[in-house]
Amino acid sequence: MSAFNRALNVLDALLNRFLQFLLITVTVAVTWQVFSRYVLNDPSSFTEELARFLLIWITLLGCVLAYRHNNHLGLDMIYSQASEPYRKVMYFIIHGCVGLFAVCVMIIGGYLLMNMTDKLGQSSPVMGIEISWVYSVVPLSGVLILIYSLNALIFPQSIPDALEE
Amino acid sequence: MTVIFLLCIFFLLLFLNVPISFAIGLSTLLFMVTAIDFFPAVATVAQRMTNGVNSFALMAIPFFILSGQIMAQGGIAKRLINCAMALLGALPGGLALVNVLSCTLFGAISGSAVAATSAIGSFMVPQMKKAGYSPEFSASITAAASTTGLLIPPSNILIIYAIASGGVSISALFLAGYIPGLLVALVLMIFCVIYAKHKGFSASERLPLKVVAMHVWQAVPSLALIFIVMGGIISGVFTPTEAGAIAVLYALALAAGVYREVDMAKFSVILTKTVETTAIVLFLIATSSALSWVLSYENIPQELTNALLTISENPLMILLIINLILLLIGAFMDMTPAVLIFTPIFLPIAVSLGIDPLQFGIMMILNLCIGLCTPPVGAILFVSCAVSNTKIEKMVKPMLPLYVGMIVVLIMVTTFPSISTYLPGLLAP
Repeated sequence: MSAFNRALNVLDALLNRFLQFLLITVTVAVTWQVFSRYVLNDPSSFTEELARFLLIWITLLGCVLAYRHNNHLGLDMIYSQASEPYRKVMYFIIHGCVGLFAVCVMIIGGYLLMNMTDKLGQSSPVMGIEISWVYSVVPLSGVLILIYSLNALIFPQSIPDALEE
Repeated sequence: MTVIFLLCIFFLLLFLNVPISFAIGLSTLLFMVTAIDFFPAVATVAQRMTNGVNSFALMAIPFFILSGQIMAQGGIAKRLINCAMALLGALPGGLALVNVLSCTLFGAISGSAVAATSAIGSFMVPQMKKAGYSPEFSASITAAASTTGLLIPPSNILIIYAIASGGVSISALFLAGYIPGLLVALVLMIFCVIYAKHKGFSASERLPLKVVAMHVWQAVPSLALIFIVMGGIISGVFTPTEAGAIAVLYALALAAGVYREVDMAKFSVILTKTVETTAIVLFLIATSSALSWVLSYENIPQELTNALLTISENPLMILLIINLILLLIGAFMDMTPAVLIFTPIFLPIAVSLGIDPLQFGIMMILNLCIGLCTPPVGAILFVSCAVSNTKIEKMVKPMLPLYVGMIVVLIMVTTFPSISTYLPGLLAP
């Protein structure tokens, strides 16, 4: 296994742990929201905001992981029937498209979005977090998707199989 | 004209097996670039995407996925099957009825039809085979019965419809799903009884009352989840999202604490699967909300409404046309992207004809449930095939009467609004 591959596996594991942590955090936060309202009679207001922001992070970073494991929904009825040479062409188009989207929308678009909100000095009403920080996950996950799509394009078939049911 | 261009690019990417979410995102981007400059275009798409998932209501989705996963792994399927067996096993076609009831109960609790198919099917199908049912029939009835869980709350697809419709109350929609979901289960059960009588299957032996009571009692903690979640939502104690978090804690306490079937290693796998499933669904929602923004920016739903209304102004006729289109779409597309893409297009038409968005949503989801059981793309059909060791081709024949049954319910839901709107009108908070 090359050093590059090992680095990717470490990245997978880190991403996985971080996402698990985010999911647990958000579950605790929303439970706390119910608890604080009924038991403490002092409804917390930051939890709703926190949950929304964490959901954006879980969606975009989880999207990277789902792409890495080839788990995104697709219409594979032609792909699965196609003969080897056609399938190869389709393989490159698929990962090329994903990479293209990551560069244009997530990296460039996400960076512009961060810049815009930074200039406006927007921050969240309750917790006072700068919105540009919330949006920073867009270019971040864009870069990660780009890394994995380049990996798929340069070393075909190095994608691990989908998680077992 | 550019709309046709958008559609062509989208279908091209789709058939090349580009992930649907990315196909939607890329075609939206290309469409935007034809209208405005590149930099504002990419920034707008990125912004619409993040806004699309910046919602507390959507947070319910990962919670219900997580609680469903915990229950699927936590020995709850087994207890539900025992309970169904105790209740229905002694009737004609007992095992088939037990299968339908277990799938319905498990689907209702876990909110995932695929999980219901694999959890219940992998246990019930071998039993049915032993009793003489053909594997194809067993697989078909499992597949059809599993879809009822999508209509019976809590259900993620109902949340997704509520979000896509832009304003339907999740609680009301949850209530609207009960009667149609149970109707499908009832129709399937009636079919099972007729089938078993016709083929001469004997019923299982009647269990002593004490055993029956014990099996039902053991399923009570699992079934209690439905009452906690729905009771809390209906009485206004908590929102659907908060109910989701409570469901996670309850399922975890039950599966890890009481049944002791989920340990740390299993929990870690469950978390990862939940994150991935969540991200797949929510990333679809993100790119779809960019798409529907572009569509409404270009006035597409309005133009389509006008076009359809020139064909007919009879609401039933229009619903019939929409149903036929959806049946076709459902055969080729998974449910989540279909709901996300076509709700913003079809719902305005229905609303302009005075149709209740609740009724329309239930109709649409029931319709797409049929699509989940039809080839060439039918997630549930494939899973039930796999757990039954049979081939898709062989399942077409035993599925036919089940399609008919589901379509009968679909026609009822389409024709009689009160099937969907009665309970929400009575109980909605």
